[in-house]
Amino acid sequence: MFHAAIAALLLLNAGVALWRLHRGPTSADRMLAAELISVSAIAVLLLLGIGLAQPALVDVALIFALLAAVATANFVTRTWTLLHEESGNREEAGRD
Amino acid sequence: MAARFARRLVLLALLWWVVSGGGGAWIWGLPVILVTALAMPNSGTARLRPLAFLAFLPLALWLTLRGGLTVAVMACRPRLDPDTRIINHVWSHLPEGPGRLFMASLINLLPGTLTLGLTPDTLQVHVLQMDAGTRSGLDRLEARVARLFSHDVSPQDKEPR
Amino acid sequence: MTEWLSLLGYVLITAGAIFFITGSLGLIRFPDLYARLHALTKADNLGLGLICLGLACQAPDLAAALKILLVWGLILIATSIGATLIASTALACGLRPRLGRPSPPAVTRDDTRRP
Repeated sequence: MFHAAIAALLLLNAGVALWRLHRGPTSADRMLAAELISVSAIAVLLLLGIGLAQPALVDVALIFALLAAVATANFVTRTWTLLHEESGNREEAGRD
Repeated sequence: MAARFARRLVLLALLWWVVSGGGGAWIWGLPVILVTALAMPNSGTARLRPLAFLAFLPLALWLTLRGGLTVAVMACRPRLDPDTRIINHVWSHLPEGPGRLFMASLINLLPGTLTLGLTPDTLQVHVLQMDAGTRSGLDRLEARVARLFSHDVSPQDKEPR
Repeated sequence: MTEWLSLLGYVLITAGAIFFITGSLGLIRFPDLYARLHALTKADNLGLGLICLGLACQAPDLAAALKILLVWGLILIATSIGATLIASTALACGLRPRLGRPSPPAVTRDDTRRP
């Protein structure tokens, strides 16, 4: 019960990050919001894995954690540099 | 060479024990461990002294805790006016190599510092809230990391307590 | 003994959830990308760490507890290296960090001190 309540709290918290995902002036801000959501997802999986006594969920969290590194590296090396080449000025102008 | 290989085997076996949930399926585990230990590329972490690393962990965890606390307190303050600076930390103890990369990523977890870039001479650090202890803290940390990677720290710049 | 450990686990998990909330508060309130990176890498890693420690206290056996801590270790490595990657790429793309105290605008420009 306790674990599920904390998990719900973290989900709400990740929902708040959606605002940054929607607004974020640069694509890196959006990436940060996505990172917050993925870290929250890992925490939720771990909480439910222990709270509901489902050890398989912990394995899922482990896979997510492995993929988090790949996601950031991929974003930096491919996505953002491409965006920068296409519309470098827009990112500069859009920040507050 | 043999010692390094043995160390690798022990570490991988421990990892398999953890991942397989308490040591089942060694029939699959043993070949995987052997192949991984043979195929693993040599990285700079081989220079890391294991006992010194274990002794370093509490300090790193404590600094991580303080780093999280300061940023949490700052986020909760009603008025935000952080005294943000960019400073260049000049390398004085660590030679080129994995020690610098380790320090650069460790800095991201410490109170109020974020690595912006790594050059052969300096480390560019974004400091969220500049105060008097920031620079000396970075120097002390560098001396600690240098000892962790078994580089000599000359006596006059041993960390001041 | 186990009751005490599990009680400690509840305390740690609650503290971790609080750090998660402050982390996203910082993500929303901080003025520029670099400050937001500070909030995300420090507060959220600490939040996840406390939750992992708390859950490891309540895990059924030692291997499960270590597996949960392994998840934390992976995330720690991934986000701390990722933060530098994002920050250096942002700097290379020409995103200027906001420096100094914003209230008196006169002192904001001359702050890139070199030793």
